[in-house]
Amino acid sequence: MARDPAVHEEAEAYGIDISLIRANLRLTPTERLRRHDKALNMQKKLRVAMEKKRG
Amino acid sequence: MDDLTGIIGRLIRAEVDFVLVGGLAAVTHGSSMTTQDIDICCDFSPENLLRIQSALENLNPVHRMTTNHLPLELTEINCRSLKNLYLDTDWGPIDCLGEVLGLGNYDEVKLASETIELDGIECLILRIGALITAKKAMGRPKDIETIKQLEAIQKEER
Repeated sequence: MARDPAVHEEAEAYGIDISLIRANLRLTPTERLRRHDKALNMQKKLRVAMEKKRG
Repeated sequence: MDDLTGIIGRLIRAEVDFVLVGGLAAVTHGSSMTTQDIDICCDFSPENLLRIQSALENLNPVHRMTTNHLPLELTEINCRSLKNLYLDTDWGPIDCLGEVLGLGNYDEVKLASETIELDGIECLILRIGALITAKKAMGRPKDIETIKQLEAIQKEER
């Protein structure tokens, strides 16, 4: 589907990556939730690693 | 390890009467943001709250906002005074709300919801327009990006 690039002008100016949203919209709701859980767990792992490094 | 999707599955299988709202509803609609907890708006009848307790069995649910993280020990009697429940579990935090700002009580939230299929089981989720209304009513700085993402999703889906 051809999209008007100006449609997301405001969102993109705000810093929103429309390509990430489009990638999510290609997934089913369950896949979106699973992907989110993975991202959340990765964030936690990184946080713990950084806390460990800082002592 | 957090398993927010797993908690939702447990709520559905325990036949909890709820609507998925908040950040995880935004994720389900396609937002690329991450959230730390599950927000549900639910029926606060003792029967439904006891179903929530049963759904979270073995996940060590505790009252997150209490100083000593008191364990969740609901009975038909102590359920009656509750308006919200802020819990933490081994699989992640879950907030159970009796109403949503900008939308109203559970019945009104339910009217503003739609059914989606999660792993072949039906789940109620706040419709994207209602989610935007609720986020605008909250008016917190952290909600601004979610609103912009949700509006972009609406435009993509038109």
